[in-house]
Amino acid sequence: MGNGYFKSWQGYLYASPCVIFLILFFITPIITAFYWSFHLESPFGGHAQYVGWGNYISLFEDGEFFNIIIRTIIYMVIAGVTVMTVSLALALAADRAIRGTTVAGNVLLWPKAFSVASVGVIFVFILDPRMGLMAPINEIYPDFWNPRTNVTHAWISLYIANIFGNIPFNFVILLAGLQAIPDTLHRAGALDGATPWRRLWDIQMPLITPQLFVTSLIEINQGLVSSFPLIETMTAGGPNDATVMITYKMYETGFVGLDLSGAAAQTMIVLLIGVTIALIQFKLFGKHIKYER
Amino acid sequence: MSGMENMQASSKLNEGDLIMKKLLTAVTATTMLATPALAKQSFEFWTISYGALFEATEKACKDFNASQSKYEVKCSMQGYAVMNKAIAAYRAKNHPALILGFETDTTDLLMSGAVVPVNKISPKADWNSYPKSVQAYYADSKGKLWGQPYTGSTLAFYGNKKKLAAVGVKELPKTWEEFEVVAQKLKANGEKCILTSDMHAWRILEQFISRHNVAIATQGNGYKGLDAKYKLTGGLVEKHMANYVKWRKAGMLSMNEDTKQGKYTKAFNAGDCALMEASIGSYAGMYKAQGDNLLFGKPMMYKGYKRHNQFIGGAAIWALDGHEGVQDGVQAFLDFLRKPQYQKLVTGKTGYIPMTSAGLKYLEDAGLTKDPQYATAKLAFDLLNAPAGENTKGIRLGFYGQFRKAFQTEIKKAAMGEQTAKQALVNAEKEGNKLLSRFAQINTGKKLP
Repeated sequence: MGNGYFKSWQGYLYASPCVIFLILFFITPIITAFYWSFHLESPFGGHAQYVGWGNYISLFEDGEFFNIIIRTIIYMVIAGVTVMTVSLALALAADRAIRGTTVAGNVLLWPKAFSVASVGVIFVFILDPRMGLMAPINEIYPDFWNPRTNVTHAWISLYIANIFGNIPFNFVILLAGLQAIPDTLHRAGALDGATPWRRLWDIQMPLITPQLFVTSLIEINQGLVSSFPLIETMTAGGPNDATVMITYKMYETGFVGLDLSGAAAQTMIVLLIGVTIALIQFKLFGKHIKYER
Repeated sequence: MSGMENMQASSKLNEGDLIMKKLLTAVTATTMLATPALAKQSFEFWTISYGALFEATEKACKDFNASQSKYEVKCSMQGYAVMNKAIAAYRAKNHPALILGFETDTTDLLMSGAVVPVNKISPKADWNSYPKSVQAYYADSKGKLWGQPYTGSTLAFYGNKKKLAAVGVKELPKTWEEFEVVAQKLKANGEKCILTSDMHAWRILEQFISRHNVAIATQGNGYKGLDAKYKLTGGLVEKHMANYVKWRKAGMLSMNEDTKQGKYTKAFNAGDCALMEASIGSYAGMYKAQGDNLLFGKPMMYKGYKRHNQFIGGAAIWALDGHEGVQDGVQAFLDFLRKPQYQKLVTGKTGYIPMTSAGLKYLEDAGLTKDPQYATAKLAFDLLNAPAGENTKGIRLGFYGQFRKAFQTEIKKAAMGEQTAKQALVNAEKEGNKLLSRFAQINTGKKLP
């Protein structure tokens, strides 16, 4: 803009749709939720009372809410790590140009076309204990696989659906990073007698740290956001509320219970969790990233 | 001007005329088309997008608009989240005149300060035509209706004739004590799914306490004040829930999770289960699946308890304020929907029951009460018209939707052997009381109408 090619007002003009969108759909709701979280709002409005930290205190008086937060954070970490591991393995395979790479690279992008909720619905069918893939095994060993009643199985179902839905994005970014590594480095490594495994750790991984950082940053927070449609379609929080995470709790409080202030206080906590985890990631890994090649 | 010229001139004139005429006609036609719509004042009705119900409602809306020269109702499907959307719209001062609210929304709507009671809109309507229990559910403390009941259902008891006949049982058990005997026989006969249920509070708690005239909360289940507290332990409710837990352990109760289909109604329809407590609204689907093999009747009682009226389930139409300009139209529409033929339309399409005695009589006069499509109407009226008790009016407990969920979770935990029935009820009480005190706090200084 400073070079005279663009006048400054043009810059603002081009940015304005995005800025307006952000203000309307992100900033305003956050401010409203912040305000509500310190008030008691009646559903139809017109009766707000200031209660200070009251809404937050009543959340944490409930021992279950603390469990929900811990559960959510554990989910975010496991979901992020599993998605990235699988995506990285696939990207490495695709980068090695083994047979069928082009087709696989194409097919692996398809899940991106599904909404998270659709992925959830599909996996409900695939993983159904009585009619899904595991049904024949269940016929012989009853309850060998039963996400309807078994908490561990319910979690595994959520992770599987989450991995499936989130492969495409990570796969594309990581593959792009791998393909940008000059071939000469591989050849030099190979000449020096480095095994593929050694080259992975000493050449590939260090050189794709920027991509790994971006995907981990997005993926771990994505785990938080996309957990809602998966829970809603797959477990409805069950068995017996064991898979209720904070996004789902927020929905139950606000939409089922019409307790807008309670839901607003939870929203603020979600925001805090998201920002804190991102900051921790920046702090821990930010310095170790090599952007220069 | 020669004749020829004259003709040419006149034809030109005519051409000009024609264009003018065409234009005029077009303008007039547009105005004519537009005039009635402009003259008609319109208002909105937001309804739930449950397929068959919306079809019936849409037809009623069309017929109403055709019958009206002054008003037009715009009926729109809003998914299941009508209440949430109405709240958002109300806060944005852009709300519809009428909404359909589920029975659980009743307390919230009564407390909202946003509702114009239907008895005020249609003061001359014969509100006593609704069964007393239905009136009690949607009325204020003076017995005046605030919402107009639209879809009604209540709990019924269903059986698989062949499965029961296989153990020599011809009729549905009438008491829970009889049920235990029948269940033992079925179990001995190798039956895998005897009684099936999703353990939803509406079915196993609300419909149960109303017909047994037992309270789940103080202050008459909340009718007398917002300071009510849940009381689930130490009485018939605890005994019944302990029985459910015992029955599942004994293989006499199958929850959703235990059925192949993952849903109790589907399992019953597929012929996998012998007995089921389910809404009367499920009858049509069940009859389709089971035909004459389907038995249906009154839900079971415990011995020594007199049968009282069951709560009404379903939804009512609520008028929101700020639409005083079209109040006559709203009244005309509400009156229109109460007509017996429109009650029949909803009943025929959905399996819900007609809501007024005139609606029931209309079916009887047409000889339809034996028709499978309408067969449950009479039974439902009997259940709703059973004698009232002090605890059979309904539920006036805040954040009740959340309590239902908490109750179901706790009782399922017990049924799965994670805790005792008593612990489940203590936990549900605790959670429920927390919700009630929060609701009372939000409504500080307000009273139930």
